[in-house]
Amino acid sequence: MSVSRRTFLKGTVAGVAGLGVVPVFRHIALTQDRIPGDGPVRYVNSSCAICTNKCVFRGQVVNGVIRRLEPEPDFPKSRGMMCARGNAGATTPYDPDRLKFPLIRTGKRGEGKWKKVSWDEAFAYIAEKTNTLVKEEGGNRATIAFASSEGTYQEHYWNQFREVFGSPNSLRHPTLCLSSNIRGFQSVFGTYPNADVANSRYIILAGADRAEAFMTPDTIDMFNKSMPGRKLIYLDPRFTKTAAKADKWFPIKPGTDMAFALAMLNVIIGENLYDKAFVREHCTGFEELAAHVTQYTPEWAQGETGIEASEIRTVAREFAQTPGAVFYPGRRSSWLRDDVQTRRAIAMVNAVTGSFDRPGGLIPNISIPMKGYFYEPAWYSNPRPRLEEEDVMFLNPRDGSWIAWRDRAIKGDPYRIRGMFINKQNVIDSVPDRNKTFELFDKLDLIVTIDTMMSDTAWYSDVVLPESNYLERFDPPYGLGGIEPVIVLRQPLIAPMYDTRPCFDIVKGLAAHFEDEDGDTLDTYFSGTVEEHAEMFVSGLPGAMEMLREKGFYTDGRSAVMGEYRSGKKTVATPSKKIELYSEDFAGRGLDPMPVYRRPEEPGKGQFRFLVGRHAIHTHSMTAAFPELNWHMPENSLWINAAKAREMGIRSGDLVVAQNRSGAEVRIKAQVTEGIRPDCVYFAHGFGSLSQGKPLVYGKGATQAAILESHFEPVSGNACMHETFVEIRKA
Amino acid sequence: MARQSGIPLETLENLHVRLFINDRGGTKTPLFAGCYLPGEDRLDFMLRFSGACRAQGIALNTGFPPDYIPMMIEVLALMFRRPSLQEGARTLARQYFTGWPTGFAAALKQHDETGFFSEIAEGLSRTLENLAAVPVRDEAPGT
Repeated sequence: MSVSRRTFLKGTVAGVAGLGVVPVFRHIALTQDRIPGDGPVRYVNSSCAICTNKCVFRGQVVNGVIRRLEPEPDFPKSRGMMCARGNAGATTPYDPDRLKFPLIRTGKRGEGKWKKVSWDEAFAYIAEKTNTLVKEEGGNRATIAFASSEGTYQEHYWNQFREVFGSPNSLRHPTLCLSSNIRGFQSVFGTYPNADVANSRYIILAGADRAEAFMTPDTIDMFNKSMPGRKLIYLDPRFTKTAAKADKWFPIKPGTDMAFALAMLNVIIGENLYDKAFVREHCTGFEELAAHVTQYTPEWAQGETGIEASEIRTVAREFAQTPGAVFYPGRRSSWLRDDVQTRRAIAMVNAVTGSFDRPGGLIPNISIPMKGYFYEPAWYSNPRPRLEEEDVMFLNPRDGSWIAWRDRAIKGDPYRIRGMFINKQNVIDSVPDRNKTFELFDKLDLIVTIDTMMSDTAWYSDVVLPESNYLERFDPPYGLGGIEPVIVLRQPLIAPMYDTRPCFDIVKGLAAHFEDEDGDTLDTYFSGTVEEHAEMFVSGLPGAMEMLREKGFYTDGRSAVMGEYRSGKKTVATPSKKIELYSEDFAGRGLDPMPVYRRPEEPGKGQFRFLVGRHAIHTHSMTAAFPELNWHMPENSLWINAAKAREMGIRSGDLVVAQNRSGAEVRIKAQVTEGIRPDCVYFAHGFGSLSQGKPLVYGKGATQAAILESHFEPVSGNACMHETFVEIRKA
Repeated sequence: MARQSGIPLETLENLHVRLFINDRGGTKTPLFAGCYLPGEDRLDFMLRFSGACRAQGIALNTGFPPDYIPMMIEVLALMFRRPSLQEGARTLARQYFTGWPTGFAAALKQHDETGFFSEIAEGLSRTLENLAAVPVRDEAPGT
């Protein structure tokens, strides 16, 4: 089919309209003002969205175009730093492949055939399908599940929509992240504390690759040289950037960190190096712990961890004898099925040395109190519980447990899941075992995704709703807790482009197409505007909104006051009100009251343990398609130990196949290195995209989601990221 | 025109989405001039073009990037319609309407199997070439 020149000439006017140009001017207007030359630089302070730190930047806008983002020097958490990832965000609103209009799928899922529709058409389509599914399930609204990710500052509107819609099935990212870590530390200290890195003179990091997995201000404080004589001890099966900067790197055998911590306790307690006054005053269960760890000698731990007993002994002694030493709690995903107990053991090393509520130690977070977001709840008769309620000991009802939930959803146990609404969580690329996610998707009659880019999940959806970019949005104030808490604000540098909307407008618009049991449309539960909510959130903080508007953040100068727990002014939030070295709560639930080491399963002959881990260039699967960052790292590769590679005849650049025990495979180039243990392999996250709507990463490298096996630990519900064994062969 | 050419409207709509909005493998023919200027900083191009429009008293729709081709064409069309802006329009045509039109037309020729959009783009490219070739009043030919 083609157009002849004659037809073209006849249809010129209509044809120009076909490109979007019409004789009346749709896109421009004459104004009275002529501004010669470059207009002035307009600065807008706002909060980054490219990783979890949410640093505040000053955006330079010239002639209505974002020229660059630069660090806000006064923002206390990033200390005048703006990373390359944050800088690269400046071009995201102008990405030609961003989502621009609501789309409804016209071909098969994943075929990439879409119809551009109006918002009302999209909402009506979603509502009609959803209501039919609920009706078919006997009115069970829990048949529609909701997934979302943190960081948008508008996620509470999404949760509100789910709640007034009437589904308990909410899935958030923490069980793909650090919920086991949080649970482990909470069981000991009653809180998940921060480390006072700036004042710490001795830091042990178990797999927390802070030189690449940035955390502000920890990364900045950890590697600056203003603390003379500071020692960094780093445990990791890989030689990462942090290993390169550490005083000592121990390539620990994966899954044995608990053995290392227990052996430290053995030395510290056995050699009377513990903080006796602190333990007596603030801890409970010390006698039990002391007896318990006698079995875990450094010599025993050497056999488990691969770290020499003398080294463990030295680290334990140095740790106990250095004021302001801290075993860093980390912020990394779970490893094995005993992850909560591993984190408890690490917490206990801090506890017995009194590394809590003192300079350089663990410090309970504080935050600046804001007013909450309240709304009327919707009441439904016969509500159903969430699917995996029985599977996890400490299940957070808003976070859920991704792996456990998905297993239930696939089986339809105890009821069927027919639809999913997904808000900025790239489920296909972030939940381990992609094949199982597809198995779930195949059972769903409706998948709706909100995003700014055509993620893999959007690509396999039935309806895609385009959210405004973070540089176009006004998001309400968001509290960042810590030792120096702040509140941050996101405000637009430029107006929203195309037919995109912020989350609040999307859920409110969608809500207008649904009714509760009383026949009221769900939009009646939403009132006000985001700006009004923002004002309300900080209305108890004089001058806060003005400072947020001007600076992009608010602080009243407060920071965590050390010594308040030690002095008795504050109480530890455990059941016993003490730091718990022995947990009666755990014992009562049939869990080990103290960490008991169980040797992890060994990779079989020809197998490797697959490791996950962050790297400096990209944030998960979000940034690999940013042109500036992709230029630095256009593809990922599989790290394999040099000696093993030699045995197998593999050279750097060779294409290899990694296959896990479920039979799932990925093809990826090898990177032969001395920087990984012989029993492990690793590749970075963010590549191997299936979405052909992300051309820079489509078909490049591999995704962890495809190779990670599906395991979770039943205490916190966290996915186990290091329980995957793979075989490697040349492709 | 589509009917005259025997192209079903639904086909044209699907094609419009694939060519200009979102497509597998990435949008092959985005409607942004800066995407067809290899070696140039697109942000800088947008910033300068937006500034040039402001200097002429023309406000661009903030709902699109400043290098959105339909909007750029409107700018030129408006300026040519107003005698007081015609000289400025020629300057603008030479500064901001060269290079990318041929790249855009070539990309469309490669990816538009109906020829509907690529014919328009080719016509547009020729028109803009002609406009850019007309010397502005204070310039000697060939400068």
